[in-house]
Order: sequence, then C-alpha cells, then structure tokens
Amino acid sequence: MTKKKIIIDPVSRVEGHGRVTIHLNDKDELDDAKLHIVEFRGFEKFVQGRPYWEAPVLVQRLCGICPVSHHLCAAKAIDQVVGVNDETITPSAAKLRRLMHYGQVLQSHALHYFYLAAPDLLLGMNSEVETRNIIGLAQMNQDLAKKGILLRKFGQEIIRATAGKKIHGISAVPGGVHKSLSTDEIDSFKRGGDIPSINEVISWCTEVLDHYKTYHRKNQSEILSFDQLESNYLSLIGKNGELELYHGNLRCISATGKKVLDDMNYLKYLDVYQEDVKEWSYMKFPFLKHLGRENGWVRVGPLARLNTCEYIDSPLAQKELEDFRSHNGRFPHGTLLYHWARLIEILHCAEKIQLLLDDPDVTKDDLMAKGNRESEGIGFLEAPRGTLIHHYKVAPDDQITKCNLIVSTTHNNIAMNKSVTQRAHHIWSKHKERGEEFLNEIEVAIRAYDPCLSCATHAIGQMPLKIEIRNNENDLIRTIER
Amino acid sequence: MILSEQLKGRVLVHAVGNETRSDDALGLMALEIVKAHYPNFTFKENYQLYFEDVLEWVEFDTVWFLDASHSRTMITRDFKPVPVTFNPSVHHLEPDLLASMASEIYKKNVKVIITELPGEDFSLGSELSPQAKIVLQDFESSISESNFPVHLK
Repeated sequence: MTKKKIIIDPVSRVEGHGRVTIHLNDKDELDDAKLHIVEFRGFEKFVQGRPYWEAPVLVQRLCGICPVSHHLCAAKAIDQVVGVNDETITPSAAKLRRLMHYGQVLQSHALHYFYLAAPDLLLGMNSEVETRNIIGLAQMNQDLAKKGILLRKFGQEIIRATAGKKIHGISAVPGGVHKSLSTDEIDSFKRGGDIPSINEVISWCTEVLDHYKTYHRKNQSEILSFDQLESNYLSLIGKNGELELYHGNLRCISATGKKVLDDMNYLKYLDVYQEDVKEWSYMKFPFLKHLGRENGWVRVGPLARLNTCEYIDSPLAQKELEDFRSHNGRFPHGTLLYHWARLIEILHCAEKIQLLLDDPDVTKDDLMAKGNRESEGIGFLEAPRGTLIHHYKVAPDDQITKCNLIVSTTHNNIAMNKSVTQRAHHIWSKHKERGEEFLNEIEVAIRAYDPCLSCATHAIGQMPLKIEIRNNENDLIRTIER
Repeated sequence: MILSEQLKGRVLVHAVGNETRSDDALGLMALEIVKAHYPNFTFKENYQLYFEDVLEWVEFDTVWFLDASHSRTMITRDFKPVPVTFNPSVHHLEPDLLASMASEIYKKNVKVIITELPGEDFSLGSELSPQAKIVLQDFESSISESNFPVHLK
C-alpha cells in the first residue's frame, strides 16, 4: 500500500496564488492537508538601501487591493524615524489618514463580500459552478450586485480624495500627510451623484447586513458546522476596549476570552513574536513566543477584532455587534462568521467616514509635524484582513538597512491550514471520489479569511486551482481541476 | 471583419499594464498609438482592471480593451461570455467578465473588443523585449493601414 497526496492548485476567488495538498496514508485515510503559498517577491530585501521617506510609496506596491494599508502602516513606522508619533502628529493629518483607512477597509470588504464570497453564500456552496459567481449573483439579485459595485466605488473615491490616487496613493508622508480635503470634495460625498452619498452608503450597509442575517438564519446549522476552530484572537484595541482599526495597543485573547496579551504597546512586539518557517511554503508561520509553536498561533481579521473588542464606538455597528453576539455568543469560533463580522465592519467604517466628513480638521492645512530623528520605526495597523506590521531600521545616511513585514494573511497562516485540514477530513469521509466538493469546500474555508497571498509573500498573483493526489513517493495518482 | 468598421458610436479605449514590468506595458503603449490615429475616442489607463470599471464601460457604445498577454500571436476579438470555469481573483480580472457584467447587471449592450498583445518578458524593467517591439510595430502598421482584422464570435 502507498500513501497518496491530493493537490488543489491554484485556490480560486482569493487574492494571489496558493495550492493545497491532501496527503493520504496507506489505508487511504486522510493523513494531513497543507496550504502552500507558492509565490515569492522579496520586498523586505529590495527596500534596503532606499531612503526612508520612499518606504510608504514603495512598499504599497506589494498589492493592488490593499495598498492603502501598506502605505499607512509604513508611514506610521517612518513617523517614528522623524520623531513623530500618534500623540504628536497633527489632528488634521491623523484624521485624514483615518479617513483614507476607513475608505480602504470599506472598499476591500465590499469587494470580498460581493465578488468573492457572496456567490457561495447566497447561491449555495453546492450550487452549479457555472453560475456560482458574480454573474449568477446578479441574475438572482441585480440590485444587490449594483450596490456592491457602488459601495466599492465609494470607498475607492474616498481613497482618491485623501491619497491623491485610487491605487498606490502618495499622500501619507513621514510626519503627516500633504493633502487635506476641499469643501467640494466633502460635498461630493455628502451629496452623491456618480457615487452614492454617505447617507445612502450607511443605509445600504444596513440593508446588506439584514440580507445576510436572513441568509444566516436559514442556513445557521450549515454555517456553524462548516468549520469551528477554537483559536487565539489578536488585534489592535482602543484605549477603552473599543474596536480600533488604525491605532491602539495590542490585545490577544484565548478561545475562552482570557487575555494572553494584555493591551501591550506594539513597539515591544519583538518581545512576544516569533516566526516559524516550513520548507513547503514561502509564507511564514508567526506565533506568540510565550505560548509556544503549538499553542501560540492566532487568528486575525474581522472575526478576531469583534472577539477582542468590548464594544464598537459607532452606534449602528454597535447595535449589529450586539445582534451578532446574541446569535453566536461572546467568543464565537465559526470560520464562516468572518463574513458577518466583515459586514459589521463595513457599516462601522461608513459611520466613521460620515463623522470625519463633518469634522472641520479634515479641511485644515496643519498637516505636518516634526521631531528628532530616530534610527528605527515600527508601525501597526488593522488592515482589512487583520493586523499588519511594518518595521524599519534606518542608517545615519537615511538609507533603510532592515525591513520586516508581517502581513495580515501571514498571521492567519496556521489557522488557514487547520481549517483546510478540518474540511478535507470532512469531505474525504463523504465524497472521496468526487472532485467539485474538494475544490469548492476547501476554497470556501480559505476564502472566509479573505487571504491576500500576494501580500503574504509579497508577490504578484494569478489564480487558477487544481487538486492532485500523490502517493507517499510523490507519484501523481489523480488530478482534479475545473 | 476590419476593426475600423467595428468602432461605432461613443468609443472608450481602455488599456491596463505596468510600465515598470517590461512587456506588461504593451497595452499602455498601444493606447498611445491609438490616440494618435483616433483622437476623438475617450481613453483610460490603469495598472489593472477593476470591477467598478464596468460603470464607465456602460456609458459607451464600444469599448476597445488593450492588454499584454501570454498568447503567442496578437489577436483582436469580440468578448467571450464568462466561461463555466470562471472564478475571479481581483488581481487577475478578465475583461470578458466586465463585458458580461455590463450586459447581465446593467442590461447595456456594450460592444467590447479585446486586443491581446503577446509579451515575452514580464520581469522588472522599463524596456520592451525584442519580440514585444515587433508586436507593437505590427499593431501600429495594422492601424496605419486600416487593416486590423477582428475575430467575431
């Protein structure tokens, strides 16, 4: 008897290129499953030798989906190099950066929900693959598909107004920003026109949440039994325990809600972080040192943030959080709940955008702060997919000498592998001879995390998907692909 | 069928590519050639295609999409309806999907013509490969001679 291995390559409807292998033992039972990240780019290396002020513009080229997260996280780190921090940055700069960030999270979550995830959720995981896509979704609910496009466009326009460009903006600079908003720009978001007004955006976010909750109620047992993964949860947290996407301390809780990192200053992250490397993936495996390799892995992103926070400081999203917790408990572990959490965060971002558009500071010209030059800077940010870390060391001649990036998807690496293994066990026990179940259910598990594999390995991506079954000598036994 | 006969009504020429990734710039460079010959068209360029681009597409009668490709020969074709295996990544969005979205979501009958310009080298660099330079010359010749065949579905 020989061992076998099934490979899913590439995983589709996620950002970037991944591959899944499923290993069978000599009794034809599932032994193990692995998510391989097969891209490599090496941004940490090639920013070395560049002047530090280029970092916010250079590093965002990691990604065309969440460049704003990298742009702002690098800017936060480089702020420290010029002696500026969250206390000393000007109110206008801080609020304009937050506005940009909320636009980014809103557009990224909308993109993921409507185009990558919703076809599985609203058309059904076992619906025909020919129609399980945005076109099928549009045929079922044209209005929903149109609103998805316009929500994404609204977020992109917020980014354009604050960053100068929709993709790879240039506004955040060491010590602040170089652009405030004009009253015309603010009016365009309040009034609407080619894009919805901010009031319409908030109304649509609530509507989409209601739509999702109807779906959830009808399919609750399927959603919750899909993948229950007890894990630690990590995110930034506000001063009073509120959901915080831009700046805060670092909180990690266990599966039962016990604090395992008690709102620590993220500048000390090296004291608690360690990264593991596996020969079969370009993506690293970070964990918390004091909990060890086996137990120190975490989940990040929308579900983690809703689990770590005590409340949300925007009223409609807070109401939705209460509803979420009344349905799912205080510390839910269902992987598919990432989608519900993501929709609550879209609403939160829209409410925050509305407040900032009414704030006179975003139109002022007090945009830059100065301080004493330092040799090192660390930035943390809650990117759409989770906690993002940028760390730079800078020589006296202003050149970057060291760069460490731990991106959101990397934090979820171990969790995604565990979810893939759980799903593979489930499928193998029921549908071992069939192909589509493997392809889609494995993908659905990965897709819930909204991974950006290009960011995680710092590589550009294309997305096909194939499964191969291999024996213990690595001989190909079977291939499944669309 | 010749391209000039297809470019009817309000025409948007949309190119995507990255000028710092060698032959990936082919679409953008082809757009400059089109500009010189058809100055009355509307032009749009970006690094990649986005879902919301469909909002602009539906404002036009014809969209001519230009992009570098891994194909072996230059081809200009009508769009294909979304294939049964379609599964998008936003990093790699097919223009055929946007054409399908225009008809399925917005019920607009936009004529979409796609020109695939074969590239050879997509690594970092600001120069086209020798093969891509020939492709661009062929593209310009076809436009200059008004002899640009379109493969219709």
